[in-house]
Amino acid sequence: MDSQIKRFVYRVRNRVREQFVIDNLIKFAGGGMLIAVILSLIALVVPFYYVIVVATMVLVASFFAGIIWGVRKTPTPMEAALYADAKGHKEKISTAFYLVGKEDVFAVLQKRDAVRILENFSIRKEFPIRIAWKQFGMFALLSILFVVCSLVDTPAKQLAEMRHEVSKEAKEEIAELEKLEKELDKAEELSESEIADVKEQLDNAKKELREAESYEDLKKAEERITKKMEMASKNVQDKTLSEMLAQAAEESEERQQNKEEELLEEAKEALEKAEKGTDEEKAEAYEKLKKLAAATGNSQLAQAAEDYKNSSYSNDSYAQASQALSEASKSSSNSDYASNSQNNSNSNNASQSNQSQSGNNNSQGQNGQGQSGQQGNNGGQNGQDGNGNGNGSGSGGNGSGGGAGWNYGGKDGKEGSNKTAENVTIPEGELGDDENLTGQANGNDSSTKEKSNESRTWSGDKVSYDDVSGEYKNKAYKKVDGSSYPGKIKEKIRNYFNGLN
Amino acid sequence: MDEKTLQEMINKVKMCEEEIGKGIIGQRDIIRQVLLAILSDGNVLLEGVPGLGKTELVKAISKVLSTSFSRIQFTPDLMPADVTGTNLIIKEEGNNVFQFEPGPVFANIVLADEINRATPKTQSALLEAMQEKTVTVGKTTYELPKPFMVLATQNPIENEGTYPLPEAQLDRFLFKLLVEFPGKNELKKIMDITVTNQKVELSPIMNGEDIMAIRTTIKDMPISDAVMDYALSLVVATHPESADAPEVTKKYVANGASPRAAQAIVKTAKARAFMEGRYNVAFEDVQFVAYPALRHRLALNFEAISDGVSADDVVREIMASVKTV
Repeated sequence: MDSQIKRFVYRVRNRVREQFVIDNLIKFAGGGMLIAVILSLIALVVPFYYVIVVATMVLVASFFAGIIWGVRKTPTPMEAALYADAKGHKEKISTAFYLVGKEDVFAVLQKRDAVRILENFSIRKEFPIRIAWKQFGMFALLSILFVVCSLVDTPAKQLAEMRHEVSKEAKEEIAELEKLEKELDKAEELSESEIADVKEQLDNAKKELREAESYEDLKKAEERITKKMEMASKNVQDKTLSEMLAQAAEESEERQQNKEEELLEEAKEALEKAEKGTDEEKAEAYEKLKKLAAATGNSQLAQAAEDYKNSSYSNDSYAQASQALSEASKSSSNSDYASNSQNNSNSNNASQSNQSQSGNNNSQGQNGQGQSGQQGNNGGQNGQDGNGNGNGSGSGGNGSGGGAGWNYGGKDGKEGSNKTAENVTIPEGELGDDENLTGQANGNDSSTKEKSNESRTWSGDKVSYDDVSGEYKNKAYKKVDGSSYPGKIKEKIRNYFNGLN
Repeated sequence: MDEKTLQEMINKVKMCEEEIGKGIIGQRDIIRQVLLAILSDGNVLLEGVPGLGKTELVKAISKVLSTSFSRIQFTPDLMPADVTGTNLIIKEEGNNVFQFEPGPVFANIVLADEINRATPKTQSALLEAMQEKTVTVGKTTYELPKPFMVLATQNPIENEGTYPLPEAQLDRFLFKLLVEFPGKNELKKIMDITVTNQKVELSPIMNGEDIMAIRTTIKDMPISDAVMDYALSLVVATHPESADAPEVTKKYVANGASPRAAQAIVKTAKARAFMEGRYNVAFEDVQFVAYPALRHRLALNFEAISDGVSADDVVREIMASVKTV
């Protein structure tokens, strides 16, 4: 009798546990799905690349939590007996379970009474497994909502995807820099100060890469790093380090080019497929074009891609996109040439720099005539628009001219302290637009020009160089103060302008 | 003891209930609850307006159970000795000697009619009898006959010239039963019996020995932990300072029930299960006896009185708040 009662109670317990697990599973899964939906709704407006991964993890976790909670909530055998009693048996089963092992008159009579009930008790019938259809329906609805939210494409999602790609590429670049760092550590012949200098530059470069949020940022950061390494390779005394940095710079540039070429090839291929392809293929072509445009900073291509999409992939817009792509392709091949030329010019510059140094030594005795900074040497060589405007200027005494493109030009063009304040002629402000350099570097190695209709000078006036320089600096400071550059960059720019005489 | 003996006992109790029901029209719950108190060795306080058949009920029970019965009409000038008895000086073989003359309390069933009309001193004279089943006069303690129970009545509407029973004395009553006014049909039946020549003859079913045997048997009735927990939870929930007390207790109860309440619930729940022919106590047994066992043990505060909340309302809420599983 005792074993019969116990067996029955444990069977009821298992049945109740099954029900608890199902109930909790639906409840927790519903909760998890609700969180997933909220996350995917947030991801529609806020860039969140890993939303699907996180939502899936939440769902899986909620499933497991439901099962664990259901098992945890399993009733004790006495509670299970009471559940059975609740079917109208007036606590006969629970009392019989309580009396297991007791053999007095009442216990025996009571257990016998209970066993009579158990014999006619169908656990399946009395405890049918019920599914909370209402909750299940909610879960199904939330699932549909989640799928819809996941499929909807929004600018935030595109931005998240782009940022993710940028971050991935930045990480690869950082990994390369770290490799270089390790190599530096191994190089025993280098002095500690040299290593520290280079490491500082590398750290700054890594920071810039980490902060990059768009392809443009990334591209700029990569270019800056390449240039910095080129410069560093010229400035360091140690030959090994110089070679190491030059090689790293070369590799970095090569990687950038390869990346762009790869994107270009992909875009070409996708566009070819899209000509007579399905909507999906057309959409993919749009994505590829967009990615290439973002990576190369080609606004024309970006516009063509958007037009292509907005016109529902019409033939006209296809033709425009193809044209924009072929132009981008040409420009890319030019840039390859340019980059090769630039490499040559870099080496020329390096030698020129040495020459000029010796020239300066000679010029010390020749009434302080210095060599003026070079202007637009890159532009002259590769034919691209607005390539590097040097801003170094000639100086007397021990000043040395060494103007170069991009943001290190100023540093190299630093002049001696005994520069005279000569007068310079100002173009007629009233008659035409003045062009003032802001010093802001852009992606094309050029400075941004700002046009102004006002001029503070009379036509044909000659004013002091210091006045022009001072005004130029003040404008630059104002621009920098109003910009969103990081603090350190601002400081560097200010230092650069401070250094100008 | 075997199953047959047990069944005989159960049958006798059921027959008693039916037999008393012949003489007392309606009031089925009251009859059952009084029987429960008898089988659980407890005293009962019956509250109701005059003329509801309280005295008749006690007489009927006494007759069916073949037990001695005495009635004491409580009045303000009633003295304790009038209840317990007193020592009289009598001449015995030429000598004056004290001889104890038992009072009306020396009966199996004592009806203390309108108990709240007597002074507290006289009311207290019943305390020892009710709790210890003994009476002490002078230096001698006399044992009361077995079985012994007090059935006291009180009128809820006449408060002038009454002495409300103190909590300590109320606590000694196992049950407090509220005798309700009968319905129209029941009233007609009462008329048929009382204002005609028709007579209802009640037959004795049990005797004192049977009652004592049943009391012993009922004590062995098993009660599972779950049911015991439930009964105790109900009592604990009457205490406003308890963490498990429901909102109604915290709001309306000044003092909760004593441990005697728990004893009363468990004892009478066993008796009820026995009367139902079961060998175990169920939650419904506890719920059935919770009202009469708790209502006089809850001291309600002024807020309850002003809100018109009764002890039964509080007990109902407490039962709703305490879960069985």
